[in-house]
Parts: sequence; C-alpha cells; structure tokens
Amino acid sequence: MAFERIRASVEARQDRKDAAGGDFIRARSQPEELDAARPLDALITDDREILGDKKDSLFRDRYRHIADVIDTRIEKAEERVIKPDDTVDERQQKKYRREKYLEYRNNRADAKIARLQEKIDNSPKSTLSKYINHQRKQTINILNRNKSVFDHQQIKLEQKRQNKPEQLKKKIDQLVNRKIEAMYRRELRKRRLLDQDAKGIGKYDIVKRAAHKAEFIAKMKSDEKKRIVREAILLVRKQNIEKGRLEPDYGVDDTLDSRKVTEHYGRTIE
Amino acid sequence: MDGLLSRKFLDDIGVKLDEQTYQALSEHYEETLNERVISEIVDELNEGQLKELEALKAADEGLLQEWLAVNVPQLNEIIEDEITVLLGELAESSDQLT
Repeated sequence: MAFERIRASVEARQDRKDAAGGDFIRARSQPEELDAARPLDALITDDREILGDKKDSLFRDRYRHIADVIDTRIEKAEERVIKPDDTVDERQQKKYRREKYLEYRNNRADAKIARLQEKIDNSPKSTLSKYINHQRKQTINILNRNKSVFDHQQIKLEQKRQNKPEQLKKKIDQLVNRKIEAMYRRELRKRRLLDQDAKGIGKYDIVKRAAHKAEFIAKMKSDEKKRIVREAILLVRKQNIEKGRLEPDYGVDDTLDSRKVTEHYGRTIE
Repeated sequence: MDGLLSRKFLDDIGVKLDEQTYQALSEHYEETLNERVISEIVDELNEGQLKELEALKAADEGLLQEWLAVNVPQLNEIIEDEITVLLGELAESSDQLT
C-alpha cells in the first residue's frame, strides 16, 4: 500500500530516464516489500512532481503573511524585555531581537519534533516506513542539536555577564594605574630626576622609586584622585557598551568619594 | 524590491548584504522553505489523498488551495513551523552571512 503511493512519480521518472537513454530499474516489488537490488533513493517521493509547476507559487502569499505574523509576535515579546528607553541603542536591540528569534525557533522546533515523533510512533511496520522514519529521526536529531547549541551559547553568555563586574574592576585598575604612572613620570621629568631614576639598578633603587611614587600619590588632591578614577570607570563602561558586552544600565556611582577612590588606589599600588 | 526573505529580518539579526547576494539568499531561502513545506504536506497525506492531489496538478490554483484547506487542516501550523525553523537557522548563522 505504501508503494502504491509513489508509483505515479516513479513512472514519470521512468519515462524521463528512458527518453534520455538512462538505465532505470523498474520496481518489481510486492507491496510492503522492497527489491533488494533496487537503490532506495529510487523510492523517494518526488514531492515537486506532485504539485508540478505550482510548487513555486502556491504558498508564496501565505509565507509572507505568516512571516509577518511571526515578526509581530517576536516584537511584542521583545517589548516585554526591552523597556522603551533612549539609552538602549540599536546594537542592543538587534542582539535582543536575534535572541528572541532563536528562542521562538526552539519553541516551534519542539512542536515539529512532537509531530514527527507521533508519526514515527504511529507508522505501520514496513521496510519503507522504516526508511522514512530514519529520515524523520535525522530531522529530529538536527533540531535537537541546534537547540543544544543555542542553550550552550546562552549558558556561556550568562556566565560572561556574571563575571563581567570583576573583569571591569581589573580593567579600571589597569587604566587608573597607567594614568598615575604617567602623572608620576611627568612629575619626575619636571624635577629632572628621570635620568637618575632610569639609571637606578638593584633592589634599593626599586624600593626608593616605590617610596617616591607612594609619596606622590599621597600628596595628590582629593578632587584629582576622584576625577582620574571616574574617567577610567566611564571609559571602560563606554567601551563595553559599544561592544555590546555591557548593559547600558550598568551604573556609575555618582557619590564616588575619596574613601572609595582610595580603595581603588589600594589595589593599584599593591 | 524585497524577495520572500524580508530585509527587515536580515537587518534585525545584523546582516547587511548587497543586492545581488540578497537576491541569491532570498531565492535559496524560498526554495528551501518550499521543499520543506511540501515534504511535510506529503507526509501528512494518505495514499488516496496523494492521488487526488496529483490529479489536481492541472487544476487552477484556487481549487488547489481549497483542497489543501480541507485535507491539510494544519497547513498554517506546518508553514509557521518551517518558516520559524528556517529563520532561526539564518539567525544562528548570521555571523557567517556577513
């Protein structure tokens, strides 16, 4: 019975191949059985033959309409996640939208997997069904694999987001340290001590330099310290938002004071 | 002019293509979508329905659509699933498309 279903396509293919002078093996099998000598791919239904020339245009309008519906649903889902805020730039919105498409895809993929599994479970026990079910299982495997790749990416992304504050602190420390170093060397140049400093060798000179630097920092004005740290924080924040690694609402403490600044300095001169 | 693959969707996932590449991708998208949807429809039909469908090959499109509406009631769901799966594949490989 299953074989009857594809007979028409097989016959059409036979006519074409005979006309072209090919050597097509005609099916002689009984229903439910397959000729062992016959290649399996000759049994695959030629779907395009069933709909003929109409196959290209039949669903086009429906595709457009349904694609619009999907887009609208994703936009509505997006509105619940992205608050209407001028600081959410286009890059962030695209990132959210891409994630929403992938989530939606996974949900529909689940529906397709369920449908395919039902067909596998309810299919008759025949060699042809076995072959078709093998194709269905391959489709299920591909859909599951895509989902697991997406899930793995989401886990990694979330871990990166959670580790971000610590990495940002390190980056800020580096910037602050570099700024202080630049200011200290400028000061040394002013005092014409740079040459002597550069020539310094041995442990004693390194210790002497560290002492000079600590003294230099201790003498800095509170406002200046605050400005340096704030500039470093803002620069790192800006860089990470532009790269899409940081949420735009990652805050900067407006009440940054000397005590907090000193904490930052403490890390840089250790 | 936009092909079946929406430029807005490509823009949403951060893919920018020149006109020629876009047309080629859109054609490939439509071809792949057609194959998958038709394959699913054929899978839904029994032997008798397949024979009826084949007989309608020469009929006008309106009649064909009516027949499909009656014999494949979950057609919209099938199309939605296949579009979403295919768009998801495009979104996932968006980095390689640019």
